[in-house]
Parts: sequence; structure tokens; C-alpha cells
Amino acid sequence: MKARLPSALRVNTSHPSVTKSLARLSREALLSLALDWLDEYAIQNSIPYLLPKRDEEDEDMDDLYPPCRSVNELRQLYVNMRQLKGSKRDVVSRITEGDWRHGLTLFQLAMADFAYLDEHQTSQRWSSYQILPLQPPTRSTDEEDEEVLKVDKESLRVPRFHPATFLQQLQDQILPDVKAHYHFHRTANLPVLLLRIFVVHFGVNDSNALQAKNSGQEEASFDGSKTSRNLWALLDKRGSGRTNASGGGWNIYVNEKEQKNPIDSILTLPSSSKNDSKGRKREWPLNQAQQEDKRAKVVAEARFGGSSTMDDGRGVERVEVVLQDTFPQQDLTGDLEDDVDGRSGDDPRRRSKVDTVLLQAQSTLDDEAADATASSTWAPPIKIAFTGSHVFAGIRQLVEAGIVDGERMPGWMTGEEGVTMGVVRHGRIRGFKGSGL
Amino acid sequence: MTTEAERLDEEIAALKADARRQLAVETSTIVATAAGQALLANDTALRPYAEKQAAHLQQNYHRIVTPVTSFKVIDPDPHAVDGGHVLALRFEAMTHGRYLHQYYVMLNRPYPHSKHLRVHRHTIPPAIPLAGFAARCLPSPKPDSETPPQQDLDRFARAIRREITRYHNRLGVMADLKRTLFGLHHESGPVADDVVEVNMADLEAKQIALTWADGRIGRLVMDDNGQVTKMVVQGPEGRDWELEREVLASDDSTMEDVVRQLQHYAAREG
Repeated sequence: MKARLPSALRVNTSHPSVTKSLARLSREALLSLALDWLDEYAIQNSIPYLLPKRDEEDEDMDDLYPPCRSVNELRQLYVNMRQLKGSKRDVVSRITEGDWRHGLTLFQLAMADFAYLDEHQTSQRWSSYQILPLQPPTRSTDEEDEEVLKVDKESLRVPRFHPATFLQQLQDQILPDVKAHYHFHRTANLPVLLLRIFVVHFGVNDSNALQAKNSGQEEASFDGSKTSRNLWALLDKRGSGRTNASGGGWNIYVNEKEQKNPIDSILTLPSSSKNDSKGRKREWPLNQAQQEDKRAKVVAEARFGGSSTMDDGRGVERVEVVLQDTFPQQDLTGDLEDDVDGRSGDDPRRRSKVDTVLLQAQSTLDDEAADATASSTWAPPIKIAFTGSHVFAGIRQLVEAGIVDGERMPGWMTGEEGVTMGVVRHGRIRGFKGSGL
Repeated sequence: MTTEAERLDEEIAALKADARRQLAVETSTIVATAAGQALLANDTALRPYAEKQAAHLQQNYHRIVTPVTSFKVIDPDPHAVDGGHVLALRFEAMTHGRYLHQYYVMLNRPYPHSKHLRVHRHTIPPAIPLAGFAARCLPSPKPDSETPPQQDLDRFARAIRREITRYHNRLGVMADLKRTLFGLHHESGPVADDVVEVNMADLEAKQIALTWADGRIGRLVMDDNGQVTKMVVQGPEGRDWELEREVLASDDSTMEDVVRQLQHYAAREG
């Protein structure tokens, strides 16, 4: 018995979840949302309140929003409202007290949430998971103890994701007393299929979960080391394209412009620089500051390639690493303070997450030999958290400005490892994250 | 409003760009010839350029002759393993005699006291099971075991190249299908038996979703080599066995056979 709430089920318009969903949308979004509801494909799940056919004469004069006679008329009304100026509040009350006074359906609420997501792309936090093929069970199934299946690393099967089957399996796993509404949504500007699960507990809505489903790649177990508010950033490293394991400077191998056709015999020399060097020649020789400035830019280009620019829309907002390297023997006390962020202790939940990664890393077996020799030297527990709208673009700017030495900077600071959380040992993120294997 | 001066500026800029392109073609042509190389051999300013051009041409020859080429890269990460030495493999993907993409796999040697390779970075899309091939052909060393696993880079490169080629061929088949099935009844609008939509239904491009004008939907399943193995058509009243039987007449239908049958089917009643 599956507890699946029908899309056409109505929620009272005075309910807090309805008012909240609508109130956070802009006027423009509300109008196009209402028009979407009235669209042919959606109308049976979002039937508006229309004037009953029988008593057309019996119009209620006190009605603030007199009902329309047909869907077409209503559609025209909302199209006209687009041309007019007005407040957002008018549209909300037109919807809740007028055309959908009998309540909004779960389907309409789902669409309202996705309209909000389209307007505010970073309003949700997303994590990525990977589906990995498992080895077939070796023991017979009737045994009591459940066998822990191993990942079949040699499998050549590319996992296939079928949204309807996934949803069916998911519903089988959910207890029958959990009442939920499921809604698939494909966003216009992202190659991703989203599944919204709206859970209703005993008539009271109090939880609302969104799950991302990459239409290309499946996800389900393992590898939660990349989380972001930016879905583009996530898809860049966990998507169905070629960019997954070629971050940082390696992205020149993805860039179409840099790729040369072998039939093209012309060697592209830095002719463009030759061309504009005329202007530069006059200033020749550059003074030392200018030379350093130029060098820093070249180094940044080498380390980051075309990636991590401020306007690429692939920004991650938080990166956390734990350093396990031993303290340098030389006296560097003056330098280190810039990098160390004192945040690690302030949020117990966040810390526990980092600690989990730490524990996982400790259980892996590589670097074992190195540990034995390093145990005698002092390794202070250092956790670094970078936060901002686009962490790696920020680091790139620091390199370009010469504040971070681009040549000595470790590779994980370019974002090429593709993780937002990790443990650094010997200057590298542990566990070969960057290859995606 | 653009003034005469601005228009002239644009024209000059375009001419300059043209001249530069022309110059680049002519220089590389001159430098590439044996006579040109001999002339430049003693010119200290131009010799590096001539050498670069020669190297570039040599690389191109290799790339044209073999679909998998290798080169060396230095990892810019100062903490990179093995001194930053990276071996890169370049896979050429081509269809209909045109180069489409290059795919890269970078390998390094992270294991202490071992020359075993490991995939470091790559640009292979997830549609190709790179991890599986890496586990099979490039196993990590087990220092304690008596039979250390052998790595076979050659087999790895061949397998990846084959998968890339197959993947691109399947994409090509899909594009061909779209081209030939659409617009059968161009002037009169589609009839009920026309296919109106062709979509890729999975990551590997092994499954194709078809939609007919009358709302029937279907699925074609290809094997690795582009052979059609299965076909399912679902109409409003259930499976359309008749169409399935007609289109997938034999066990080893190629996509061309399927297209021919589909066209025949649409033309018969239309």
C-alpha cells in the first residue's frame, strides 16, 4: 500500500505553507506561475474557481474578485495583469481569495516551490552521490545475516537511471503512515531532473525535501564529498559531461577553443601578444612591481586554466579541509595565521561532519608507511574553512594579486580535486579525489 | 549612430585580422617546407619558431595516423607525486571523416617503489566506464602479494578508444535517425504513423525513445555495436505487437533496416 498523495489534493489557502510559498515569489513569477497552472497540461491538477454555469445571473456583487466564466478568460486576465503595474500582494490575494479560493493543490504548491528555485538558484543546498555497481551476492538469500555487498570495481556497466522506477522503489521503502506528494520537475536552464518530496505528517505540513537527480548520471550511494548551493557547480564536477575529473588548470583539455584539429597545420603562436606589444613596448622595461604583477597573472592562468573565474556561475560557497601534515621545521610563525580560520570549533554539527571525513580517511590504508616515520614530529590539528560566493575564484584573485604564491600553492586550492571537504596529507587531498575514480 | 570614422576603423580592424590570418598561413607553409627549414636553420631569431612548427607538424602526422597518441605533461601542483611527471593519452573521436573531440586520460605514478600507473585526471564522460577499465587493466600494486598484478596500458588504451568510438557511433546513429525519419510527409503535415520525436533515453546513447504522431511511444535498444536488439512500442491500447514484428523482422537488424521499415510503415498508409 503506497501512501502517495494525489496531485489534485487541495490545501486550504490560509495554510501557512501556501502563504509562505506564494509570498516569497516576485510579482512577475507569480503571474507566470498562474499562467502555467492554467496551461493545458497542468489544468486538471489546478482547476480554478469559475462561475458555475447554471446560475450566471446570480452574481455575487460583494465578491472582490468576481470569478471568470472560462479558463480562457482567466488566462487572458493574467496576461493583461502582466502589462499593468501593481503590487505583488494584489496577485497573491487574487490567487488565494479569488481564482483559487477553494484551495491550492499539492501540484500547484510544487510548481510554486520550483518557481522560487528558478528565481533563487542558490536557495537550496545540494549534495551529490554516486551509484556504483555492486558485486552479486555470493551466499544464498535465505540466510539470516545480511551480506554486505562490495562495490564491483571492475564492472563495465554504466548505471542506468529510470526516474519512474526510482520513485517506485523509493515509495516501497517509505512507511505507509508517511503521507507524501512526489513531483518531478525539469528546469529550463539545467540538464537535471528534480524530484520534490513533500511530506505531510498527520495533516500538518512540516517538512519539505528536495532531491536532485541528474538526468545524466545516477546517484545513490557513497561519495558525498561535494556539497554546494550552486547546482551548476555540482553538475560541473558530477555531471554527464567531460569536466568531472579535469578541474583547475586541467580544464584546458576540456576547452574546445584550445583543442586543435590535427588537420590544421597552422601553429598558433602568441601572435596576439605580438600585436598589442606595441603599446607595451613603450613602457619597457617594466618595473619590478609590474613584472611581478604580470607573472602572477600568468601563474594564475597556468594553475587555474579557464576555470574559477568570478562570472562562470560555478561557485561553491564553502570549502573545508583538515591538514594532517607535520608542522614545518623552519620558523614560519608569521605566515600561517592568514590561512587559518578559527571557525572549526563554533558549530558542533559542522565539525562532526569534518570529523567523519577524518575518520574515514584514517581507516584507509595508503600512506601507512609514511605515518610511521611522521608520528614523532608535531602535526597540529588544523582545519581550514573558506567561505564566500565563489571560493575558488576568490583564491584565483588572490593569486593574480600576488597575495597567494601561485607556484607554491597546493593543487587542492585550485578546486581541481572537485571536493568541498577533504583531508590533506603530504599537500594533497587524500584518496585520489580528482580523478573521479 | 556609427560615424564614418568608426565604420572605417572596423573595416581596418577586419582587414588587419585578415592579413594576420593570411600571414600565419603563409609563414607556417614556408616554415613547413624543407627549403624553408634549411633557410631558417642559421637564423637564431626564427629557428625556434621553425622547430616549433616542425614539432607541431610531426605531432599532427602522428595524430592523423593513430587515433591514440601520448604526450608528457608536468603537473603544476608543487606537491604532485613523482615530481609532477604525468603521462597523457589523447583519444581522437571522429565521425564521417571529421574530427569532433579529443578525449584525454592523464596517468601518474603515485605508488611508492612501484612503476604502476594510476588515472590522475581525465576528460572522459561518464557514459564510458573508465573506472571499470582502469580496475581491469591498471590494477594498483599489492606489495605483499606473491603474484603482483600486472598492468597493461596498451589494453587499457585500446579499450577506452573502442568505447569512445562506439559511443560516438551510437550518437551518430541517433542523429541519422532524426534526419531520415523527420519530414517524411513534409508538405501535408505528419500522418498518424509518422515518427515525430527521437530522443536519447539514456546516458550511453544505447536506448532511443521514439514518439509517433498518434501518441504511441516506443523504445529501441542498441547493443555496443549499434545493432538493434530490442524494440517496444506502447500505444493507448497496450503493446503494438504488429509494428514491433514488422520493424524488427530479424534478430540482427541494423539501424538502417529499422529506419527502412519505419519509413515503409509510415508511407504505406499515409
